Amino acid sequence: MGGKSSTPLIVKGKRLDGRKPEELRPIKIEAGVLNRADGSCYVEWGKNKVIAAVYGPRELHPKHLQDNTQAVLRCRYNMAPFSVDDRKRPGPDRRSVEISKVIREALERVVFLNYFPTSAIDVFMEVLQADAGTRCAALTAASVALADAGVPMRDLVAGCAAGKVDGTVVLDLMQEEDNYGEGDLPLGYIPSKDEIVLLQMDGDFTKDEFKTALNYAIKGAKKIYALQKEALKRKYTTNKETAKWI
Amino acid sequence: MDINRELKRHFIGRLVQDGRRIDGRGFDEMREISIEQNVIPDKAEGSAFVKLGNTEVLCGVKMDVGEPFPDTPEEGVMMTGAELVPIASPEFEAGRPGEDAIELARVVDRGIRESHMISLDKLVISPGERVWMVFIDLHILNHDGNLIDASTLAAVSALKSAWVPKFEDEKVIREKSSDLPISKIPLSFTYAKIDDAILLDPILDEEFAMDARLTVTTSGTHLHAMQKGETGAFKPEEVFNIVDTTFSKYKEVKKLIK
Amino acid sequence: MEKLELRAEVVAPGDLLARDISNGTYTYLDGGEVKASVFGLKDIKKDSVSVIPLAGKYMPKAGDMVIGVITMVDRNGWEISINSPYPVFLQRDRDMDPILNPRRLYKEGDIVSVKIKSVNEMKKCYAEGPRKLRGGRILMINAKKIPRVIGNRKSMLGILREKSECRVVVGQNGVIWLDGPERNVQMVVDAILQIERESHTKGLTDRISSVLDKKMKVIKEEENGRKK
Repeated sequence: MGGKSSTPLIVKGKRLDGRKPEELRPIKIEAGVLNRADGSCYVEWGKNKVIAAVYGPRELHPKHLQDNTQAVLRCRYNMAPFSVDDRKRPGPDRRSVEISKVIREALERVVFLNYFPTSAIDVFMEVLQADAGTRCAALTAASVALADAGVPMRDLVAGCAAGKVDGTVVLDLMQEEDNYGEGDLPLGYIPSKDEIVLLQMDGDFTKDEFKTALNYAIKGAKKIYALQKEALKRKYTTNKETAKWI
Repeated sequence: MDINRELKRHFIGRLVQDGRRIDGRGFDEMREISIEQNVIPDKAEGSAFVKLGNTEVLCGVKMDVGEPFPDTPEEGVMMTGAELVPIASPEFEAGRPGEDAIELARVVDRGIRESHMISLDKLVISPGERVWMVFIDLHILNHDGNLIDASTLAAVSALKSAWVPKFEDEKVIREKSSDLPISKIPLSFTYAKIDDAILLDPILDEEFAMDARLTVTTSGTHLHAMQKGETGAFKPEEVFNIVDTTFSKYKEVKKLIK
Repeated sequence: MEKLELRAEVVAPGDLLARDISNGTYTYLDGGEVKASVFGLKDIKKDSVSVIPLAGKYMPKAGDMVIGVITMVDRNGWEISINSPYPVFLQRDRDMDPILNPRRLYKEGDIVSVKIKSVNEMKKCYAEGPRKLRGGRILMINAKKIPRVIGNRKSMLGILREKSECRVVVGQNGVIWLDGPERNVQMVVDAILQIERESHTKGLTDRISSVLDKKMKVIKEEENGRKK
């Protein structure tokens, strides 16, 4: 968490964008937005714009990378250089390596990897515009893209974060709140199983604040989960030729 | 597929079902901890060697002068790196840090940074231009599980022993001018979930068998960092219980920090 | 575009399909609950429930006829890529002259149809009964839509072949080979792409049939006009 903000982030129970503490930003999820990918998904979450593509299962080379018992799931979270205020140097940095890892571990819980020995399933997540909460948006998009690719899965994983701003626990931090707030708690959650598959935290929470924050994030993830399923079903219940991400 | 890993996995799983651990510890018992400070006395400004059971981590702190980050002109800079050097395990390879090393460094860093252990505001030489930079480097020498907690202990102990050199005529003089300004003491506690059992401070064999991992970092009253790892899942109540255990364990381990 | 009626409910992974019933393909058991494991259409029968997938890669199955491209030749035989995570291997005949260069039979780039003979646990696949497909046109669609292209008791494929007067070979792996007069082939390609797009809707066979009738009528009239 960064420095202190000179102006309050919550005034009379309302946040900078007018949200109440327990309110999500507007979210749009669109499945099947890329033509070449086996599956894809675009997520617009506040000012975040994230696109995920899935390729595979496909042949994995070189051979020593193969696992004879299951598919190898490979995830790459990447930020476009233009997605943030100060241009980001292209390519993986330590932050994106870590995020790719925790997202992969969250998804491995749901994908039936054992159906596809020796193969690879690639999940690419590109953050096109970042406004805090990109890892949750990327996980949400990746999970829909996997389903869209016809990859067998136990369920979808929904991502959602909670945090602490001006001493108040809030759902779904936006950029200013992330920069000047006191804590962030990103969550990956499977509502039908009540399972936490991604959990990170940084900042300063008391035990009670943490409890509230985790419960907020779970509630948020349940709403995201409903939107994910709705997005998949919408792909075949509307007559659009192809979905568009922009 | 690693044969050792597979054999251990089945064995550990069965033990845990019987409510036992391979080294006879209780599920929420830490291994023995030993901490030795100033082990690199001549070159590092701070250092510590930590043994957590058989896991051995060496941490060195180097101080240097540099520019502050543009968004925090009145604060010193801290950076944490970790190397899983090949001597520590047959599974480690030389080369650039892989994702495990990166995750380890970042989780340790987060605990120290978010708890404000180092008073970075006291490390300013001239605002916006010159500040002290604290480099925390972790060397894993023997990997027998739970690198995160051993590394946090090593980093915290090394920082406790660290001092700020003199800075005269635009030059760093490697002589002590003051102690490194320290406020809180963050400690991390890592738990492995095997089936439905939750084990504090897993050894390597238990890590082979674990479905999921959760690290919680606290400074005693507040939580500062968390990291869930591996492909299994936790229930919310399990997380709340882990948080409770963490607060009570903190009191025990804190006593060892000098 | 008119609103087409879904032929079954669209389900997503994790959706509860039914309780206490045997679970069919693309589903899994979670306690007593049968849940969908893929994105697709719910297919409920008297004593079981399954999902018809709407996407996904072709998984080789013994007995399937597939169409692929020779990607590698060595002295043991040929490797054929079939638009799947797993290639199939065609072994050289034992009584084949050992001096004969196998490339004289099939070389890299050749298009062949084969029957999958066996698939092992690691999905290593062996093929038999190769036939080289010369000329014609290749179309690749989502393999999961092939059952719709073939239809119930080959009804759809029968319509496509009969009405278009084209040769149509359908590989289970989503690769289709077509041969015939250019305009007729184009007509079948368009029809197959329409089947792929609308596989989840009702009344598809009738729609395809009438589209083909209309197009063939135009083709025939023009042909007759030219003859006169």
